Amino acid sequence: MDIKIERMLVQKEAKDYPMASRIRERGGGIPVVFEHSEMGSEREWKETLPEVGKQTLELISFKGEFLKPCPGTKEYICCGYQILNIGTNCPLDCSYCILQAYFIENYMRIFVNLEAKLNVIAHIIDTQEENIFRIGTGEFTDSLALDPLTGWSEVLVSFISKRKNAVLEFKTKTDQIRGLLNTPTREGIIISWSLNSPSIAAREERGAPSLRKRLEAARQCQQEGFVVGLHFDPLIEHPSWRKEYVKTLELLDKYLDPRRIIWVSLGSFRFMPSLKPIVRKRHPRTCIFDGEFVIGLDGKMRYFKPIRMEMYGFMREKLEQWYKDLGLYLCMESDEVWKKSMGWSPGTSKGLSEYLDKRVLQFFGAPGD
Amino acid sequence: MFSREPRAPIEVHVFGLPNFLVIEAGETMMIRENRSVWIDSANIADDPGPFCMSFAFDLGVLADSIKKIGLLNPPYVIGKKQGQGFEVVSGYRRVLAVKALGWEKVLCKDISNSVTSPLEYLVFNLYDNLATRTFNDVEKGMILCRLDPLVPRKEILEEYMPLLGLPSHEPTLEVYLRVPDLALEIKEAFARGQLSFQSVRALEDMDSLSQSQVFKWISELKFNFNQQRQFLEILVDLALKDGISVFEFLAKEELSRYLEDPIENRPQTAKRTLQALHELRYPRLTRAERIFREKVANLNLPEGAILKAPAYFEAPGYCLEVRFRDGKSLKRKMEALLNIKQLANLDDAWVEKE
Repeated sequence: MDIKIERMLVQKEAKDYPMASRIRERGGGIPVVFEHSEMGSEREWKETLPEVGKQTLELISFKGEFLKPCPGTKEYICCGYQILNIGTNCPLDCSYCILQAYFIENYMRIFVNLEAKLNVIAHIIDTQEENIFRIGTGEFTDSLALDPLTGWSEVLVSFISKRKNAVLEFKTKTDQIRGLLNTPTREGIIISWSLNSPSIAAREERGAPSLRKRLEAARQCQQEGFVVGLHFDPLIEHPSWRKEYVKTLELLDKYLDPRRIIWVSLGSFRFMPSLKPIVRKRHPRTCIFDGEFVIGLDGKMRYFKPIRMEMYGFMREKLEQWYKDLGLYLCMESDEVWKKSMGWSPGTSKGLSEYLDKRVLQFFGAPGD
Repeated sequence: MFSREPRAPIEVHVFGLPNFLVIEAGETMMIRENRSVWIDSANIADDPGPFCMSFAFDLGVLADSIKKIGLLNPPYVIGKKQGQGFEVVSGYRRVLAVKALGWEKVLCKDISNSVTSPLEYLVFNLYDNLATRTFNDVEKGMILCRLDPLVPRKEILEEYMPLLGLPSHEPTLEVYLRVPDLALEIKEAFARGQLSFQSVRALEDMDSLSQSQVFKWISELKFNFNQQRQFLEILVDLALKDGISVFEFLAKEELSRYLEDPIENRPQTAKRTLQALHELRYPRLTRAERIFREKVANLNLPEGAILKAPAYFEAPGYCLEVRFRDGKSLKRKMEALLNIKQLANLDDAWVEKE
């Protein structure tokens, strides 16, 4: 996978952080076209640059909270994940990406003051020993797409390995695993791949490596001793979707050892209504809106309930035929859908958190072990 | 009819025009040499020209007024570059009206020497109009379109859009900028408030054949704004799913019959059309709704009892509403409910029992 970055914007307050220097050094020939101040930065450079996009990388000093719980909603069962904010947007251009509606511009931002804020994050984790922190960096960006530039893996693996009650999940659609493979520890690290059917991957996940490449990378990580996770999210109803998803499941069998998979999540495509016109404009040939969507209890559009249950039930059946103990769970679903498609329910978000915490303990052992 | 003699040149002070002109006296713009001149009507261009911001107006009212009391406010004109004739800066409707009345000469203000750039002419006309009337949506599109090549986007968004009563929102601006390119009949409907902004936005994304066909449906079935939204949203989804244009989709026999061969009155045909589209777009949901209706009908609920499903069956469970006159009637109805054996079989709405 080639990262095509044509220009860099650097906030003045950000330029002296080690990550900023590292990115500029590793970026080699990427020109820094604008240095701006924190205040009114966008306004300043927007007047100079007529167009920014996925080829533009902005380095900033992030003023917000780096570690935040996944917002979830009270209407659906949430996994109780903690989001580690390391940047926004990524070089991939998936048609269904919700970030298109979150951010008006789709240039990438890296929070280069991450290392300087690790002590704050460490304090939060270390002072709550009774809790297990399942942390992920893949909420607002791909966890590994920019790793060759940013060195996130070097920084974060070393940080997490010192924590007794935290695991860090790198969630990706890429094969950028070199940085991770070079790290000395596997403790508390989960590398997860977002997967879909071959036709959805080819048609809707523009710029992402093929499923085979992703799974080759996953296999290499398993062979190197890493724990792996899988995410079938978003599941998309498309022509022959059953056959199509089975093709992916057959690839899983070919590449991966299911005993070293900590969890597999299933989530059906859902979106804020405001995303649709944006996607229609940016990806006019998309098929992601072809299904029957209704307004969910959280105000997002989601497939009509029996369709979701059918998809989950099908995936569950096929995945369990492969291996019984995959740590299957649903992302943002109701108790009813859980019971009718998975045969059981954690009942509440707390219940799902406990279930996933148990998977962590099963794979990494209890704190202090 | 009476007309006025040319008056002596006057000095006009226009306040509060921060973007207007270079200014000789602080924030006050002085228009000098706005000579009043009598111009042959034939020498004034008939076409709207580059500064016009009038669309879908009723010339009759204005012509009647001028006929009765004369032309109170002279149009503002500039000499054409080639030196032949004049172009209207402000007062295009007045010029058309006096021409329609057969006036051979019109008293105009020639501002060729006092205002010099296209932007200044445009803003001059804008403020002249703003002082006396509100713009319709097509006129707003014309104004924004004319400002667009002359003024930075940021300024259009922050200053001109609020001036026109529009939000400072780039996607909204994009919609208005494309309004002048729409077919005349569509623009007229938009100007008259018969088409919603959302409908216009959807129409702009279609090819011209589809635009005119959709407009035909909307105008013939007289869809209200909410119906327009449903119609367009479902239509676009279905056409995209089938990989054909909206025009081609509407030509399908199963739909076109609603328009070509209506068996009911217009509101009923409009409703039927939307129902048909809804069934095509949401076949499983529609089926579930039908099954649920049938299941409830088979229950023979006592009078005043209504069994309701949650919106789209998304939330779990159902809701039973019982209307009653007094405690006795409630008791009777509750007993009747308890005796309905099929109630025990009420399950998921989308499951059809053999």
